[in-house]
Amino acid sequence: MINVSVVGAGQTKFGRHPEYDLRELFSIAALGAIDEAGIAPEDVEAAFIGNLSSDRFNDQCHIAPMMVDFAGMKGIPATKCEAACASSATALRAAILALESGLYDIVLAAGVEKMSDLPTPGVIETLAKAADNTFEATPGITFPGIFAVLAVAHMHKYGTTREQLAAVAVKNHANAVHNPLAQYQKEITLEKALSSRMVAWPLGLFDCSPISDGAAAVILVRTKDARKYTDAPVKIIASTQASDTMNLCDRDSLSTLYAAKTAAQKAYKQAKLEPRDIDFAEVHDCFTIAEIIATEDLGFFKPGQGGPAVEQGLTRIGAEKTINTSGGLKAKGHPVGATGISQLRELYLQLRNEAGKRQVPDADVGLAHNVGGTGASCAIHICQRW
Amino acid sequence: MMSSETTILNYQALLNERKLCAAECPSCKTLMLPPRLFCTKCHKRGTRWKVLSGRGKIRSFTVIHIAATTHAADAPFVVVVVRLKEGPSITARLIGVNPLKPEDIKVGASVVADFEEASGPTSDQPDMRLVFRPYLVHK
Repeated sequence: MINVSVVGAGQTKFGRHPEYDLRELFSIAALGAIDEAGIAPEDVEAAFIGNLSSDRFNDQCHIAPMMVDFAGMKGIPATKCEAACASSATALRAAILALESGLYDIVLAAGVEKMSDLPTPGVIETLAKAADNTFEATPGITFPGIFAVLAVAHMHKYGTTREQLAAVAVKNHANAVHNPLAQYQKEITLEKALSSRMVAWPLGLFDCSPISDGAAAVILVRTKDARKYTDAPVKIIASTQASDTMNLCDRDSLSTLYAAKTAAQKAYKQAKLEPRDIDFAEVHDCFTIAEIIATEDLGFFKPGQGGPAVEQGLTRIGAEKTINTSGGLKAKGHPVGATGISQLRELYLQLRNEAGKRQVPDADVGLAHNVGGTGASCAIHICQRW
Repeated sequence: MMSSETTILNYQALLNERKLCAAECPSCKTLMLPPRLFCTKCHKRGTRWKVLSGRGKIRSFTVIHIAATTHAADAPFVVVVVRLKEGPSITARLIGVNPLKPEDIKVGASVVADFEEASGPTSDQPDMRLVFRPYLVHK
């Protein structure tokens, strides 16, 4: 069991932010979390910051010291964590391990990404570098292409349909209407989702998460100290991570993510819970197929049943298994390095009854599933109401 | 080249000779593609090249419509993951099919390896890249 709790969370609005530099986005999220924890920047003893590619997106390496300095935390150890789109969940894990070690009492975990500094083709190229550049990016596969290969395999094996994929987008857009920090707060119809322009067959534009800028941050302390900071801390009761081959071609199955299944099994064991005990989850829907596979890998539905489940409305708010109340990566936005912490913030809000019109009724336990790259990394966190 | 170390650089050099090779463990005979220096099963070093037939079946595929800048001129194009007859699996382009008719491309269909000059910056001796094309029985 993990003995760490969240006592503050902050996030910028996700979307296009031409008006802000990377460090400014970070400082808005970090100081939001610090304010909410009722502490000062000087109280933070260490920071772990998720980011995929400030070097390519923003022409800037070694960002962690720059981030903490700009947010008033000059001098503390500041470390960047990179695991593609799971970067900030690995930053979160590093922060948890730092607290568990007893070295620190107050740690910041954050994530930041500013993708829109590059024109779209450059973003596509940068994201493709999170696949094996020599063996899979070089033949021309893109990130949507990677998940399209998984979609075709899933469709072939289980009969999953494009309508079921589109149902994920429709649901997540509907949830995002109630998330003021989401990139798109607008519903879409199934027809619109299905008629969008093709990106990587069978995935169209509305099967894909957008290009986003944004940052998210949380303040973590050991659970025994948590009530000093807030009346309603949120306990982290599991933190796991697993890896897989970078290459799709090296995998036995193309319709599941081994790293996600492995991390999930370990997380359930760590928390002494079963998939049925999870009231709601934020899952990594970088593409619609990824949400369907996630709900199967996490044991919420049997392999092949993820598609029918979303089509039948079983993953809507308050239904059998609520998935992606925030709007998910699809509609909330996906500034890749910030996504993992943003998922954790949604768990934090839900477990404090602060999620407004998207609140899950009677939610006691939530799970966050953050996938990196081709699925070569996955980190899972389970949180519980105080 | 066939006696060279099973490095990624040498794998490409063999492709340039129009040979698709996997690394084979001298001890447990495990075949590895992409090639590796150490056996994935018994972790022994000393893997050697084994030429593959190039025959295989489509495990999955996609049609890339929106490509990275470096591949934009080729779009739309098909990328396949192929399970080779000898066991290993590899990702490459599929040529000789209509990318605008993905419904005609079938998981499980037989394909065969071919080699084409890689597009991109020209040099005296451009690298060859692995591609697959449909394997036609009447050919």
